[in-house]
Amino acid sequence: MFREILKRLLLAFPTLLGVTLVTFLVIQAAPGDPAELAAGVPRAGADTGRIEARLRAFMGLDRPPARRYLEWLEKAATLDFGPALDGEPVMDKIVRALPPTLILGTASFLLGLLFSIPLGVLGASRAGGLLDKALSNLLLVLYSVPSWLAGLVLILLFGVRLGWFPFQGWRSPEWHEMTFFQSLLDVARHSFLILLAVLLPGLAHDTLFVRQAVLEEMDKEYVQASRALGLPERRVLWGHAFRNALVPVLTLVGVSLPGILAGSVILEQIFSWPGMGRLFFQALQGRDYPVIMAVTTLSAFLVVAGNLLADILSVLADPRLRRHG
Amino acid sequence: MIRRVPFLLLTLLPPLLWGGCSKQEEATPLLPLNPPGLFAPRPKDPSKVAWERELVLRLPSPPSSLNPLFVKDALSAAVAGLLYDSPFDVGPGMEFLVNPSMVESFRESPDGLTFTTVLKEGLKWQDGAPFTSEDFLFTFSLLRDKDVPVLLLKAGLDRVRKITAPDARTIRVTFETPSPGNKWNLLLPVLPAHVWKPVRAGDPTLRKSRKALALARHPVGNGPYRLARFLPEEEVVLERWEGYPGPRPAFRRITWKVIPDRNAALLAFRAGELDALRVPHPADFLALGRDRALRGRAVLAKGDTWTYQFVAWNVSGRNPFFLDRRVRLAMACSLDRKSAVEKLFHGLFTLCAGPFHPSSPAADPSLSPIPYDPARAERLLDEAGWKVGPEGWRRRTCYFSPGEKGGWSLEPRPGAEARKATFSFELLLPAGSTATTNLALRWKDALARLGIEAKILALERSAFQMRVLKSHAFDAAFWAWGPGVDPYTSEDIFGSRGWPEGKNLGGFCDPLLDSLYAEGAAERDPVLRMKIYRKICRRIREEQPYLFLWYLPDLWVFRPDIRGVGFGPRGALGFSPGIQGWWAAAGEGRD
Amino acid sequence: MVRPREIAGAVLRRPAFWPLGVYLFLALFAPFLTLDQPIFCKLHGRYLLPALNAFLGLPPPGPLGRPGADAEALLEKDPDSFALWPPFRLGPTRTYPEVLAPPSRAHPLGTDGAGRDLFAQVVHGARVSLFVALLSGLCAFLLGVPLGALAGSAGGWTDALLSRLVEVLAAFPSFFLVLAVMAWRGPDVLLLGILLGVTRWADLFRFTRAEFLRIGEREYVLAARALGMGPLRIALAEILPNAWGAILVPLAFLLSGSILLEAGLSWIGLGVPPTIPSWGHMLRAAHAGLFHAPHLLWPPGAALVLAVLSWNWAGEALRKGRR
Repeated sequence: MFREILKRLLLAFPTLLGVTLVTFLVIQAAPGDPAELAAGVPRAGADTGRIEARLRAFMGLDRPPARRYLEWLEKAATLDFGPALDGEPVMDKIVRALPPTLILGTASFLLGLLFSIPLGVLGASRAGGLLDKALSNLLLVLYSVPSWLAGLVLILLFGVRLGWFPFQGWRSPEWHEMTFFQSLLDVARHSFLILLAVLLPGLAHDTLFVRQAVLEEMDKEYVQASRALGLPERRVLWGHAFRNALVPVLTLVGVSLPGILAGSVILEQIFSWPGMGRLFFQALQGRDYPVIMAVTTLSAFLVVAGNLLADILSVLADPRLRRHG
Repeated sequence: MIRRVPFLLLTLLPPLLWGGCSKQEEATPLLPLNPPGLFAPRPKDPSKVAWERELVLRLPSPPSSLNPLFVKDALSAAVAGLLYDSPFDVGPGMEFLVNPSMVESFRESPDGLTFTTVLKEGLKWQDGAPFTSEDFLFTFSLLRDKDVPVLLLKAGLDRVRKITAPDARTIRVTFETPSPGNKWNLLLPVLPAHVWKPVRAGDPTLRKSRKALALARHPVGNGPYRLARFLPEEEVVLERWEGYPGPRPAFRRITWKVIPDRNAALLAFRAGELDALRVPHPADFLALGRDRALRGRAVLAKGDTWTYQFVAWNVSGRNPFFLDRRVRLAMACSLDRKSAVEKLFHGLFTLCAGPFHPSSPAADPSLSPIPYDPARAERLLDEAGWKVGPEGWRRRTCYFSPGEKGGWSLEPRPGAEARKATFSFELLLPAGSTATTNLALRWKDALARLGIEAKILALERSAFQMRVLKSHAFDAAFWAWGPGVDPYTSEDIFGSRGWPEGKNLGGFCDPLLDSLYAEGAAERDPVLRMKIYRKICRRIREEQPYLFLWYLPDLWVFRPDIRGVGFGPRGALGFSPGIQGWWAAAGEGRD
Repeated sequence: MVRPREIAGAVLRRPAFWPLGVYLFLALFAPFLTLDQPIFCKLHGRYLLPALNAFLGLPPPGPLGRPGADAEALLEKDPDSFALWPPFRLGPTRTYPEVLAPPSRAHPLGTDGAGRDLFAQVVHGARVSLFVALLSGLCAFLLGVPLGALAGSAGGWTDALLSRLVEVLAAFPSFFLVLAVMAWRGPDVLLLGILLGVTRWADLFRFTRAEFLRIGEREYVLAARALGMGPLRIALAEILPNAWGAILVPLAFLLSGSILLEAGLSWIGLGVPPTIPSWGHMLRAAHAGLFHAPHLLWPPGAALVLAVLSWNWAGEALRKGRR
């Protein structure tokens, strides 16, 4: 198994390289010159041609694309993503977008796990009963609601109509005047609606997944054997069925990892949430290729890391897998 | 399964009942619109002004920069304008203003070539260093430096023959040729040389180095406010600078909150978090005006701007449809703009007859917007040769020559082959713009009744901008222009010199118009000049290079204690004094 | 070998498939439910089927296809005409004089900011989203299933190579790619469908491969191999018919995902062109009018959720049926 993991690690590099190359090529094929876009709509009397020429030189766009790609790659290897096309270092922009993204991502990830596991197991244990049927159906309905639609509805009900929660940004501008606990509460209030919007479909999916995994285990003979041996139901459920269902659940954990940083583009637009999704979308509009490449590389890295993590965790959870090396 | 259905209904019903009730607000009367007190200038008696008041405003997107040289949009310019004061400015009537708190005297030489400015004594920057003519010269050198990616670069700066600073308070600028535009090229922000020279030594672009970035966060200006805090994506906070030589800044603090979402901004105002908010959409404006929660807590304000929205016709030969003047006129008759203004924009837009607003001296007051007349449109189209074909769409034989210099034409040309063209054109608009899309959809149906097919193409904003401004790859496109400081600036839009690199979007080249513009530029007598621009107005009206839609209003809501607001051709901001003229009445409180 | 009639019978008996059936019926036969033209009529002496034309995506036939033609007016003027109308005489793309009108007899759900009828847009929007979903499903199917079958049956280097390739593709942030390409090419129904399929076939690949690996071990397959049957014939005759059930599961979820993505992209403005009714467009208008016209949110929102739900229910049922 460790050989597998090593193979995976080695594969990660060409994967990431491929991602950066494809991204760069797609951007190059895009219509729209970042310098022209940055110059914007010409104002009265403006000498647009020269403004754009200067911007082009400033952005380094007067060099051939191949050279730009290789230079970017060189610096990216040391995690220096260089300056964005407006001069500010890309890392600065990412670091600024990181806290709101992490808050949303980590909170939804942890809360998701926290709720989906017990709920899923509960559903599996009462499979076929009224509670399970109602729960499964409710979850399926929630799973069918995209997070951004849930966000719109939540904004309308709790933001516009009731005014209970703010629905834009991740903290009030007065945050620096608040004490630590006040600012925590402030962030919590701002995050509530968007977190709910992200959680509802995500939680539904995860719970259904866990329930399914545990149910499949419950079908197996060893469960009946344990029951026949007189073990209490709870022990059978948690100690055996769930333990064995852990592998697919951990796969789920690993696969959800990139979601922490993914940031839904639409949701962040609706909530004016200054996360990575919005950063990416704005970069897309401005053809800011250093930012676009940095974000796609990071997200690809997380996918690879997430898969690797899932594999490692699976192996740790289920020693049987180790032998298939 | 059958049990699931009522369950579904239960979950969907409450939101349906609750969220759907939006029509009862029609009956409530509007908040006061343009109350006279709103425009009252600051009184001489200081006790009437609430000096400790804070002003909270909204930015729809983070400011592109706080450095006036790198500023792109009007709102960022407004913020930068509070930090940096310059010797010259634009007044509410688009007139050239000399800043009395900075300039002692301003002289134009009789031949119109040399302008001498004498600064006041004792001018300082916010860090205490003196403001001298050196700063002006330094900023000018930045503009001419090809390494600095300045967004303000004007073609007119090439016409500066010489710029000197005979002493620390005098600036002398000499131009090559006399022109009404010369004065306007003096309208530059001024950066402190003593702060930026050291940065320039290590970073010629002034944007890349750590020092430059740090300066961007903590700028040194000379305006009425200094930067207290800048959190991109969240807020910009400005504080009153007591050392400001001009009239005392009226607010202790001005906070700009970055609120990208329109609905969130409306709610923020309703909740009392904002003191003034620009509300570009008429439906939202009226909804706020009828909101019961705002009774007595807000007033509405509306000013007419000279910004006009239009449809640009591509007449460069890319398509044969709009080459004939009569067709363009027919298109103008085909759109019921009056009904659109009433239905889609609640009567708040003003119909537009030409590029110069009726209140501008350059406009011809006898010209009125072309009325909706589908019968006339049909006649014009038939006259122009676009006859209704058997399928119902209009067709005409046109001539197309391939290649670079080729294109469509209505008359036979050597090398051109005759083709039967069906009147089917692409109408370009930016994606996500609901109001324009609604208008386009309604117009499409009206055009179909005339036998014309309009294919609506909604492009992503940047791609849209590029296609209209740069590659001119469109048949017809929605666009808007704001007013220039002087009518001569419209030559870039309607004159041949604006094609293809300038603001001439559709390739409209008319020799008569070009000669009129040349006349206007050469004419020194102001009354005669305006006569020439009126002729230009009439010519544009005849030729219809654009389908002029309407002038956009500037719609705002304010807290009742805000005063000193003024509306100019660019709206409430974009001219002097702008926000600097606002003040809060003492003793009235915020709500 | 499962026979089609057995499948049909199994499907119809399961209540989980009924919402899907209703959705498919409404989506496919939208023009027969609401259209500003008749289903069948005689006009100017000719017999016409305008609803069929709309069903096939063609322009209306005969005099009804003339630009600006008003079917009701034309039929009224011709004394010799008759027409069979759909239950609702509302067209999805036609702009009516009333803008943002509340629900009424003429417009059951009201009209939007351009004067288009909301009910007709909801119903016809189902058609568009179904089309995009099916197109994406087709593209993903054509890529994922053959390659998965190949990887599952060939094994060895082919399998390793293909699996690694799919991993690389899966690592790619595909939504970003779709977003980028739609931004740069402009809204287009065909392009959208193809992109959504081409970027999301990894799951189909994995399931197909897993099924082929699993079934490949079965006795009858081994027997077939021993008998000398070629691998392609084995795949088509023995394995695939038994793998259908498993493959349909990720396919159903792929389709529901495509519906969501189409709505999301249309919301941004990078999905389907604005002249084509789409729930995403309607939701965008609802978001723009959240303050002064919040009632615009519910018709497309409910429709979207119900459509996706019907696919998910079906997918769940298929998955349960496998156990």
